[in-house]
Amino acid sequence: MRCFKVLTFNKRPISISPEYRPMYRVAQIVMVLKIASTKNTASLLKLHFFSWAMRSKKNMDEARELALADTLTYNNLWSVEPSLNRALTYVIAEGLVNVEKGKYHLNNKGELLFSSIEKDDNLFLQEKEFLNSVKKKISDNRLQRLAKWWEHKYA
Amino acid sequence: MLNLKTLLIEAKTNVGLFDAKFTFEKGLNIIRGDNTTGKSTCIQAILYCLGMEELLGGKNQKTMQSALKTELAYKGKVHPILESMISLEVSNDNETITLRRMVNSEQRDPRLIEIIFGPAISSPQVSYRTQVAYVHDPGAATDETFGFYAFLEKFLGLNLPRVEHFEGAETKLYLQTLFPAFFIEQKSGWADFLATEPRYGIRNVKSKAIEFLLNLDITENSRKRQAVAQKKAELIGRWEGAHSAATKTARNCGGKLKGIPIKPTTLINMDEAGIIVIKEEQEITFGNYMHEIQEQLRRLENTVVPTVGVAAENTIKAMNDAQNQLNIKSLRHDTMFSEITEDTNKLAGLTAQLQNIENDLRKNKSAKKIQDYGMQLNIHVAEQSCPTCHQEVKDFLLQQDLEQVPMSIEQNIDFLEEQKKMVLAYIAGQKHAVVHKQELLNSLRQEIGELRRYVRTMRRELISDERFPSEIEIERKVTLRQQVANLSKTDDSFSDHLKEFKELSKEYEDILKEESVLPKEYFSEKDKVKLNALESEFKSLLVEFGYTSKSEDYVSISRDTYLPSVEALNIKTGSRDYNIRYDSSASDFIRSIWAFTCALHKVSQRSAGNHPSLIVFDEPAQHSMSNESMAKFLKVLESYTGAQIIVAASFNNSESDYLETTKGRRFNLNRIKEVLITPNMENPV
Repeated sequence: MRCFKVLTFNKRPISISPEYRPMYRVAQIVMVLKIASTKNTASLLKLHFFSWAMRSKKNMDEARELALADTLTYNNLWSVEPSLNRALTYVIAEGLVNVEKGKYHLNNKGELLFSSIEKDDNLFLQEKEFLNSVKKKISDNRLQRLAKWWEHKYA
Repeated sequence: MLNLKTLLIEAKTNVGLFDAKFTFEKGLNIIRGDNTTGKSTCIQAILYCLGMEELLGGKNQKTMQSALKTELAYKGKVHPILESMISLEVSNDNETITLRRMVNSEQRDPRLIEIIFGPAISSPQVSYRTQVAYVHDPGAATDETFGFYAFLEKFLGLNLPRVEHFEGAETKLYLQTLFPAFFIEQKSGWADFLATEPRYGIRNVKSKAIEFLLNLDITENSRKRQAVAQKKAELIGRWEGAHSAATKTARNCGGKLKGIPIKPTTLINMDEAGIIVIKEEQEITFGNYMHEIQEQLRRLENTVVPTVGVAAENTIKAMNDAQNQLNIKSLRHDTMFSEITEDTNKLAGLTAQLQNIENDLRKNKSAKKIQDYGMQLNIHVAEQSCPTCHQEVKDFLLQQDLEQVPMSIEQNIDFLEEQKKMVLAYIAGQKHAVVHKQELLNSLRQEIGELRRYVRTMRRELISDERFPSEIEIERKVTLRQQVANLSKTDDSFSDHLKEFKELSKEYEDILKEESVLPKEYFSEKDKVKLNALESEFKSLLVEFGYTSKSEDYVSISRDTYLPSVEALNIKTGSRDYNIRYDSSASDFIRSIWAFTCALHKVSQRSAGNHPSLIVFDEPAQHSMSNESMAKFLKVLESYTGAQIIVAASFNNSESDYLETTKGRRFNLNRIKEVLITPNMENPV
């Protein structure tokens, strides 16, 4: 007598972090450009920095410290994620952001999206609070210098 | 009911008295004057005299034009005003009174309104009784003796309800909140429905005003519902107090409370309610425990106390037994202690996990919301299509050709909610386990303490003179007697607690009954009829007045805000309601304000509402309104014969427009020729 045991596997969809949802990232980029960048313009490095910062409360606290500190030294490296780059291609293709002189600039359509976000009192409260607390203190230049400093120190 | 009879504006200048007088009748009244002749000043003066100048955006005389306050111009010359005041004769169903308020005066405070009980303008007499009341100072709405609004409320035969304040407290629905529904002044009144509504921190003030004017049952029901909710909350507080008192009583005899929930209930099983005592890690009922102790005492009372020498052998044996017990229990105690520590750590871990899940949930919900906003703005990627080639793109920023398929946002949210439920259940279970173990630990500690004392006593005895009577036995007798006394006190005290719970339970049952009697649905049948009438009246007036921006099929009265709204269909999100303003042209929006104001009055009148049957329109022909629409408007207003309608208009400063618009209409005309305030009849200037 032969016994066959059949095991079936069903492929079920997996849970992913909301950071990988296109519209979520698009909104993130729009908020960073409007609240935390001078003249609604930011470098790629800065966008990656803020993307990293908004991932967790811990990161946001560290980013806030960087905003307040005068010294250049900073102990934690932030990460660069390909998913942000993909989000950026969407954001440009949708006409929310223009590329000017190698930097990303929020245009009128993007401002429209931002005003929807801003008006809603129940949306992105933590993120809005964080960005409003650092405002424009973290500049492109500062991040550029930090990156260079690391290169010298660790690379 | 509020009926304006005569308005008198007086200004004393350095060249004598100037004034303006207007009489009004029932039905339609028109104040006609070219632009800048002072029609609006006239309307504002009416508001001022009624103490309603807050609709103009401020308080007291600063809201009045300078032509009433500081100086007036006449025949090319400017004359400074020494004193000015406004008088208004009004009547309700029963009597006519005159209100008088200073605008510019050094002697009398403009924050006071003089009330003369008689028509002091049309037939002045010295014999009329007078009274003074104040506006704006605290208490003006509630002080029945000196508060103006309290007086006016009574005069109008209204009984204003109490409503919710933003800070959770309750406040009166002030009279001023009703006026923007029937008094539309030119400067800001045409911006929106009830545009000049003063807020006073009242929640949903516009809705509350409309509810009151229509006399909807919902106001009363809300109040009842709130009263019951308050009673319930208070009872819950008392129950919790009783519960902690009963728990304390239970703890005092080393036990815990059983059979009485922390939240009030209507079913108390009197048999199950009681104290449970933990002895030797077992649970026994209070009754059994007391019985046991009484038994022990009884047995002791019947034995003779032996001498130390005679009892020595037993004492030694007992002491060794006790010592063993002590060792076992101490070990058990330490084990239990470390178990509790471990469990507490687990609990902390679960709590952190819960926080992570909640954080993720929050972000996912934000992701969903922002997707909706993206769709509203026609962002392709929000609808999962490529902005360039319009092919389908998947809903994630990872590589598009992944083998593992991620969930959609909605699925993710469901998944996380399930996780959250699971973790919450674990946490509840863990908390319960910790509490239970802590109880065991406490009882162990007590037992250990007792054993230690016992062993010490025995040791002491064994080294004392063997002719003495065994103290241990005596001590045990004394201890037991005391225990029995305490237990019987606890028993009495607990009976009192039980009685209290029984009473509270009955009260709770009564409150629940009261609650169940309240209407299940939000609106009563009468309310629904009124709101349907408001909607159909509004819609037919829109058509009558020539509104074309939206088909009337899509127009309705929102059952949330009671304001006109328009249905817009969004294919993805379904239909939504928007304020009719967003879909109307400028002149059409004005028509909708006309229609709403009239419909509100009509429905209130037909169904015993609280509308004062007075409507005032200051320059209704806004935004280049066509003469045709204006004519239709006046025709409808003329038909409200039971009410008083006052329209102030310039008719484009054109005689022909005036004739065309008012053709065939019957109304009481007040004409302002060149300037509002002119020298008094007896002033030769």
